Amino acid sequence: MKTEEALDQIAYLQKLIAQTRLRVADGYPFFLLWGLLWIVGYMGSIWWSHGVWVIIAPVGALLSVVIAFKKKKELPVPPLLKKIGWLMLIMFIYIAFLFSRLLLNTDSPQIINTFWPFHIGLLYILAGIFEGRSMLLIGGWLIVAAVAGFWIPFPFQEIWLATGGGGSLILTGVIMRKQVNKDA
Amino acid sequence: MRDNIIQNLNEIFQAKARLGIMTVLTSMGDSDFLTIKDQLGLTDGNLSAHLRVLEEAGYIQLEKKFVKRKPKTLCRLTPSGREAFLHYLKQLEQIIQLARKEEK
Repeated sequence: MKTEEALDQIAYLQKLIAQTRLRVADGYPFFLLWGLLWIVGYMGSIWWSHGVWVIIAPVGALLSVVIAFKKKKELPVPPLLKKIGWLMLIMFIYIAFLFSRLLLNTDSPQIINTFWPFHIGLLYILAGIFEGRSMLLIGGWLIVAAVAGFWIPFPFQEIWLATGGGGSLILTGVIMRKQVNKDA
Repeated sequence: MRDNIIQNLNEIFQAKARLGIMTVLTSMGDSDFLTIKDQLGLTDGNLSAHLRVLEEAGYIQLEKKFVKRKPKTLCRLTPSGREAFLHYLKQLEQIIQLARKEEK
């Protein structure tokens, strides 16, 4: 083998690994959906009540399942991504359980508003360990947005979480969509 | 020294398709036949042949099962396969590093 061939093989490996990462980018509809729902949810909390989440959360979960099934038909999902998906679902259910406990102990909108972005950020960081830097960055940003929002009074905390949290999810979805289209 | 490394390079991984299969399995974990085919753009026959070579070398394990009445082949790296592949990658890096040193 010549040095050029070794270089070719390494370049080929890097290309394949980059393609694997693009699988994560295939998940852009989830980011667009939840970004939009966060904006509707937090803005709805200002104009209506925090009870808006009781409608938004199941609608989001249902639409996520529909998207997941549609995606599954389009492309075979690698077992590792499936495992990550199941892990995220179990953690999500556990976080929802923690949230129900939190509601029993506090009625502070500041704490309630901070809970989900903070924990979703943690979930993304967990996924990022397997899926790469982009998920780690989104997770880190959501945690920063949640913690920063904790000290912001109503209704500015809601506006901050809608734009900083929901907006960043939508931005991520748009970037991922561009990445997928570019690769297609 | 470079010649020595080149002579000891594992020939099984020198085929691009097999290098690709090992890369997919290392970076994505256990994967099914369709996923690998989709990632590498190989034909069914071609991929089957390369998988067989890797299986015979003891680098991967193939598990055939039926999911919803459809046959499915799951490919899994063996510990010796992972070790051999990582060793191969180290050797590739060494070749490049030595070539760079020689250039200087």
